[in-house]
Amino acid sequence: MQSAQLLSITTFVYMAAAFLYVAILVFGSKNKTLGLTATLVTMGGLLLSTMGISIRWYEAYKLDFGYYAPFSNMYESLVFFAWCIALTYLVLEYMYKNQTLGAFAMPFAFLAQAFAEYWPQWDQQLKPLMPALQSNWLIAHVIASFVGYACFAIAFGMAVMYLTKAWNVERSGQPEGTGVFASLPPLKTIDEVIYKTIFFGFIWFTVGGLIFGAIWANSAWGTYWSWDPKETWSLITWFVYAATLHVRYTRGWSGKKIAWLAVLGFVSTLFTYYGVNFLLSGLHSYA
Amino acid sequence: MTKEQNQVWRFFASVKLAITVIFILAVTSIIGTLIQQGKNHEFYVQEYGPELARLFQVLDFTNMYNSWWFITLLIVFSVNIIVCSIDRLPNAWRMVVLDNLNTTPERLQKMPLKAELSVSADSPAAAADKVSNVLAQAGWKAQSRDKEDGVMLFSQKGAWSRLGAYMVHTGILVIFIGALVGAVFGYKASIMFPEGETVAHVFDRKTSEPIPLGFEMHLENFDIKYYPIGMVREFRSDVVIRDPELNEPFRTSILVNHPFKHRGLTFYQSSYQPLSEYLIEVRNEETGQQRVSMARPGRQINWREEGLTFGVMNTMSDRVGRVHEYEIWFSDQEAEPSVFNMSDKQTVTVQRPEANYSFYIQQRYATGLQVANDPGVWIVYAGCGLMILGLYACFMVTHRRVWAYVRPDEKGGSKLLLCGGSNRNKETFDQRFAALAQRLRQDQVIN
Ligand code: HEM
Repeated sequence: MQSAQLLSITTFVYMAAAFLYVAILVFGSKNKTLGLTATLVTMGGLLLSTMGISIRWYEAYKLDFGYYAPFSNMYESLVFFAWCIALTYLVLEYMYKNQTLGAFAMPFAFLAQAFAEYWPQWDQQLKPLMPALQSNWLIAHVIASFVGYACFAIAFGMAVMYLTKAWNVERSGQPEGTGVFASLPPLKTIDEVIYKTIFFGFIWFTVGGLIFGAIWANSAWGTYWSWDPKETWSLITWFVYAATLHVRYTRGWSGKKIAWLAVLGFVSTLFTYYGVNFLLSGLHSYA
Repeated sequence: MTKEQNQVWRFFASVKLAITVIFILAVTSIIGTLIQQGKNHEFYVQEYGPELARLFQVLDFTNMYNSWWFITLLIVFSVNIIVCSIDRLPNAWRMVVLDNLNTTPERLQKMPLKAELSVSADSPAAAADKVSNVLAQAGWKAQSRDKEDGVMLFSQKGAWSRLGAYMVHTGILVIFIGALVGAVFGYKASIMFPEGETVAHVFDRKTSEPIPLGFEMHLENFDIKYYPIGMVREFRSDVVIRDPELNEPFRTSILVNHPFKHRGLTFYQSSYQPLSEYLIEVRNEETGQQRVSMARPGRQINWREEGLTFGVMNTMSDRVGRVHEYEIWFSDQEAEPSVFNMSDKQTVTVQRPEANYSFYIQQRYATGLQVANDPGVWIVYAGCGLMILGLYACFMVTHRRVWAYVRPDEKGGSKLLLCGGSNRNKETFDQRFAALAQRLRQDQVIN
């Protein structure tokens, strides 16, 4: 099968996974079959996507493109973004043995994938790499940055979860909230997940986004830092999360304040990833 | 005046300042991404009107990352990190080198994680030996010290991670130092020169002054390769380096993403220009006589020995100046001149009454190279390395400590008090600790 077909099926699988997790949230996590199905469907989507990406790589190889990596335009990068979100979420589900998190994570994987597939602006065609992109640093830089982005996306989802639950708790006066909110993990746990995904994403983003990016820039352009808008926005995002970690670590902030910072950080992440390419001009060719 | 009383010191040692500065840096950095940097004044007047353009100039918004106020922010940021580290490092260091055996059983009793069990051994020393062995097998190599009425064992992991934050902070400073070294002792330059020429200088990017290289670089060939669909696959400059310090000249190629390094300089393939002078090779196929010449469009070239006159009448080129078709005029005064079309890098045979000639034409290019001399780059990379290591220590490594105190009990055996603690990932450590206690409890040798 061709990569394009596999990747377009992946969209529907991610969508199914997102719906299943929302169902778990609504109907409660008692139903074991539902829970297992959700996890398996997510794994299936991840597998399909992995195959799609690999086959796309192989297709490029067969077309004799020479050096290629399947992260070289907005379409491919969004597919990979969705892949990272799904994988990161599965790891989180395994660590916390809690499936209600999925309703706040898998929709992002679905959105990213659907955005890749259906946004008319992206060219999905396989195209060879221009000389500046032909570097192993492309692979290292993109993979590590996107693991970071995915963690930030999930931290954002968890922050939304935290804020809605906190709002419900305040209104209802129930310590664990009412209705759907009662089945969410305790606020303290959500807070911890936010913090952990942020610091984990921060490490990847620092190494991949900033450091690998700088090393690559130095070997392609001759300067490791040139205040190109994409670089600058990465730095801004990095500052936002660095500040978040500091207020957490040294000032003991937690809860709502950190959740809001996770939201702010993700807005900055989105702008770094997406906004810069379309609103500002610079050296970076895409993601 | 002591450090504690010094207001300035306190100011720079505060985490509030750090967070404020980080926040201000984040917000102000946005300006430079919205306003294009480094254009001339007219550009801003046209884009934003004279008043705003004037304002931008006054506030240095048009070159903001090098402006006095942004640099000041970075200096405050650095001083903040330095003062803060000097202020707090001693405490962190104390935690790393702390003599953990210098504690008392009473204090151990107050630890959050505890387990008590009995050991079958005559003396605390023998019991401590046994316990120490089991601990070592479980991956906790312990030191021991005799106490008044027993033996204390201690083992720890990841103590160095207490320095993580300082490694990150130092890494950031080292990166700044590297950048400074590069800015002060290095330079950026560029050169554009055509195929067949040799250069011994490059031109400073800021001042445009020539900078001698100390060796010569000869451009043999510049080549652009294309993919079948027409996109550029490769830009390549093939150069010969003649360095008086080396015995032999050597050849190398400079490609995008594959810069060439020599004597502390790095050459990057960065641009090119098609020249409007073409290389023509004409060869008499019977005699093998050959002549190479440079042709400009519309100019005649004479090869007197052969009695030939030829030239490029016209060229057709694409957007980027690449010629895909030439119109050639070729005469030997014997018969009607030949006029024909051919493409780049093609060889054609021109049939004339006297002889056949093979005719080859090739477009020529000038290559544009960026040149960087940055002695700070390895310092920057070292700083990055330190930062990565520090981040890892900061978030991924836990400082875990385990104490075991063995003392005689009333029934002639020995009693063991096991305690422990960790600075993060408490749940994980709780489980590990419980497992360790269980292992000791069930161990054959001990019971
Ligand atoms: C990039 C990742 C960074 C990490 C992981 C990090 C980590 C930390 C940690 C763990 C602490 C607490 C140290 C302690 O309590 O002993 C701390 C404190 C501090 N950090 Fe960072 N840091 C980072 C970047 C920065 C940056 C960019 C600045 C810039 C100003 C900075 C300035 C400070 C200051 C001033 C403190 C001292 C807080 C105090 O004195 O209470 N850090 N950092």
